Amino acid sequence: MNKRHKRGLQILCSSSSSESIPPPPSTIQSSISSLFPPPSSDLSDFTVEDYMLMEVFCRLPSIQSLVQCMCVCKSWYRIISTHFFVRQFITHHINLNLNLNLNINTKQEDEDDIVLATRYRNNPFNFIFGYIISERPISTDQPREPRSSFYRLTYHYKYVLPNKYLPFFQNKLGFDFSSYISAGKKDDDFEILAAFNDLVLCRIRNPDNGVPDLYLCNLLTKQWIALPSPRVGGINAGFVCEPHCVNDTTRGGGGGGAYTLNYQYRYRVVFVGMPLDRSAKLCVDIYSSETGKWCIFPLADVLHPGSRLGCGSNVVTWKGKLHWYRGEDIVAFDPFDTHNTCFIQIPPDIRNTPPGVKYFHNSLSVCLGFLRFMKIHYRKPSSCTLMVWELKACKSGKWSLEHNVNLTSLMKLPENFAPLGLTSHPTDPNIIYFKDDRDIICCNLKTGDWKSVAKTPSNVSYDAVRLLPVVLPLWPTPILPVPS
Amino acid sequence: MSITTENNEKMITLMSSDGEEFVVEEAVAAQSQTIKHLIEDGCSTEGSIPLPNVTGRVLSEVIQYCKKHSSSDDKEEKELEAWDAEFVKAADDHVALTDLMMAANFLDIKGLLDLVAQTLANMITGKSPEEVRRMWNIKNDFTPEEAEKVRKENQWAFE
Repeated sequence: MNKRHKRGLQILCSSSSSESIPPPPSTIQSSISSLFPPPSSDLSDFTVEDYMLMEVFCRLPSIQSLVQCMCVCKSWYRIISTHFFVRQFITHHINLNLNLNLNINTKQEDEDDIVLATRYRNNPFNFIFGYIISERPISTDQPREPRSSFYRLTYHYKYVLPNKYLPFFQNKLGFDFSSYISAGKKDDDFEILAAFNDLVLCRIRNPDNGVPDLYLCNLLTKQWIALPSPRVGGINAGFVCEPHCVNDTTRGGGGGGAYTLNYQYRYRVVFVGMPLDRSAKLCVDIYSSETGKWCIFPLADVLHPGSRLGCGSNVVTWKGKLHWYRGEDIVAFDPFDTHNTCFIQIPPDIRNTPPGVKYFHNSLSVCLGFLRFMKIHYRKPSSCTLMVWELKACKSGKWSLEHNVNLTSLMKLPENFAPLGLTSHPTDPNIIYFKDDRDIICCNLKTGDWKSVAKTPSNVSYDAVRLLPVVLPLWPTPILPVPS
Repeated sequence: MSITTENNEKMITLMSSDGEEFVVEEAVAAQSQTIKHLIEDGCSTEGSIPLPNVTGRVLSEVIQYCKKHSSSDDKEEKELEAWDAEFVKAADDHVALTDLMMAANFLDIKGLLDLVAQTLANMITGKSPEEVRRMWNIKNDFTPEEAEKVRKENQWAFE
């Protein structure tokens, strides 16, 4: 027994690693840099026992369990820290999800999206629910605040669906996200502009000089980075990251259904709005992760000359581009290469508003990797239709009507409030979210079941709400430092 | 040495590292890709197949698994799952499981490797590093400074 024990021990705690822990991360924000080993880590040091341990670690259910195992002993730390292992872990989990969901009848144009879509099925997600309260300015004889807005705006945020995988922020850099996000504390200096996978783009007013600082934060790992300020007042903001988790074959690697991390991934943050120097043209300002700088130019330069610039919907990130609806078509804005920006046509029978419709509302969302166009037609409290189209083929602009439901047959709508379509469930095609007076309603359009998942206070402007999906990817997205 | 049974099933003999001999049907032994290749290469025609990396105790468990899995067909999937669960439970602790996993790896039996690796992963899921060390008798070889640093780097995973 004694002998057996000793051998087992040796295997589970391989003694082959006499080396010490890798050097500490050089930048303050790379707190989990150890989770993102350089691609150069090689395999020559692995023993059979190490490979066996990898087989075990691959089958851990989450990154959290994996990270906890890193803290057990040096050899475990060393194994989990290697590029080789990370690749195995991701590949194992993606293939596992694919197997479980083989019967899905969704067909995508390229394989990456199938993977993305199926991955979403099993990955935890949440919504960040934000609303803006606008109040009359404090009495005029008080000294004017440095900010120029007429109304005092206060932003409130909370999670709609409590998710144990999303820890709240702790104090870092002197601000505490937890108080903002969890309790929805009153604070007008914090705003979440956009969300993408596990990342959020936040704006926080610096209490010292009143200038808004921009931050990119990872909700899971709490990595964050301060970005330089853009030069446009944002009407709309969004950001796009290249896929961090990619199929090896698409990158000329070994192939065989293996997945790896894209260590050279890049991102762009985009603001669309009027320049702060008050030159009159609508501009777009793009931040590049490689240069660490913003680049501003007139929006008209990238859109069809003479066409509408404006924004008739929310902004969603899909297939590496930012999408917004502008009345005739959807702009698919490519911030990596603005010449690659394209336009997705919406046929007139979908976009036109039939006679008798008093209010309508459009929104874009993404469900199981498909872009969706949601429209609400409100005629009267007893007649309100919600329609959802899905883009089935990007190039031909083929849309298919997925849902066409008279909401009044499901629930009693309040007088004088047209529902506001917000977003889709990221993985359940039948579930949509909309705002109805003060409630955020989660509704299954197939079964007709619905419930209120959140409520806004009575003084929230009718359409000043945001519901941003946060879908955790298989491997946390690292936050790249600003290049100096 | 190959024997044939009454129902014309070819038998082969496996020899463990400690000299124990096991006579099994070829179909059972061929669950192991390693053995299958040895048979294909004609290594089983004379004498028994030596398995220098596997002890008799472990080999008897492996054979149990292979017997069960070569005789079951698809419709018994549920029953097989239950059998697998009992099988790893009987292996009693992580040391025995580790031995079994090493054997599954050497013999190249994917199902068994999956089963044991998943069982071991389930054992450590949701446990703190301290609990894992205690359970598997692993020495914490981090210096206090290193431990503090690793813990701090990965604080988010502990909340």
